[in-house]
Amino acid sequence: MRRNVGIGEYVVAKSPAVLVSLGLGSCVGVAMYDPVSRVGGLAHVMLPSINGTARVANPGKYADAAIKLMLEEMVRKGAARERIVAKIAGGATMFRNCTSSIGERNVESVREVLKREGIRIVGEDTGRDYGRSIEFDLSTGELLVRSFRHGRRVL
Amino acid sequence: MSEEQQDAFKEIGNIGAGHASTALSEMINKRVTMVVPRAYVVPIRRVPEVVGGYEVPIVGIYLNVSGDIPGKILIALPAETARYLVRELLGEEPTPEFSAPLEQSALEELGNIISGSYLSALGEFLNRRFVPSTPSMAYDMAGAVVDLIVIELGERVNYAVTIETRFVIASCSLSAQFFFLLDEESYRKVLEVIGMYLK
Repeated sequence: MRRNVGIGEYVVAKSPAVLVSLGLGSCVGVAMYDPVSRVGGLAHVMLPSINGTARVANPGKYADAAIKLMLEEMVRKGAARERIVAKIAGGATMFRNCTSSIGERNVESVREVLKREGIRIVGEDTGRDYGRSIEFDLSTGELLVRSFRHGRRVL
Repeated sequence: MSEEQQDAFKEIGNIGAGHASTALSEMINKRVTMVVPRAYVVPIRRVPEVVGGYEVPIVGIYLNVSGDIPGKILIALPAETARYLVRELLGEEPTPEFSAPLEQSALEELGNIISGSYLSALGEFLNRRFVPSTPSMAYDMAGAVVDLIVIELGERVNYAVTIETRFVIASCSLSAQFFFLLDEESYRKVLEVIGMYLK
């Protein structure tokens, strides 16, 4: 079963399932996985932090809030907190003379939040200047990173 | 968006794009026609679909608009159109990924001229000041190219008002999409100005 995880969304599921996010630019895909229960989640985050946001309609937009909610839901669905590991991809700077560093800031925030939550990053393909699509296979925990300009890579 | 408001925004698109297509036509010395603009409200996260799908390769030229009514401009060129334009502008075959600085500058300059004429026509019509930023281009899958716009608009709002115009360049197989995206506040400002004319 393939499920699309759109921009600003997150999805938690149990194997067998493939969670997909297409066309990540400055956004970051955060994949978390418990290899024993095979419960996993994928978040497609847009912004570093929910802090200072007055009206939150969609917490999945923010790295910190999405990771927290996803962890809670994974545990509810049978994952053991201490076994959960993470793989991350995206956070590019797409435009050459653009001053926005949002991609970098997203990646930094994701790393920081994962560290704070005690989740180890076991695979990472972030930064640089190109887009990525990702497919997270919950039967294996593999994260396939496809790009238009730099081929495929499995994390 | 009511039908009346939609018509008003289409008319705005018409005025801007009319000037923009003339400017583009003069730049490449080829016929450029304009398809009647569309105006609609789109959830921010669906913007990539409007541009033609997440993984379709496009050249995206992006500009930030500041001034009285802030917004974003995105010009989306299918690879084939971008290749044609580079050939017309530089007289040589482009690199496969538009990675040569000269090509990138040429496409950005094109974005600059199209957007400049679009905005100046709009500014005159609405009697407001629009200030475009330096354009910046990327060649990649559409989803990745537009997500910066989604992020920047989505920081504050969940919907964008979009005025979309399609240009057909030289032959009907070559087209370009021009998007002017406004958040709700800017949308209200435009309505206020139009309201004064409607009354």
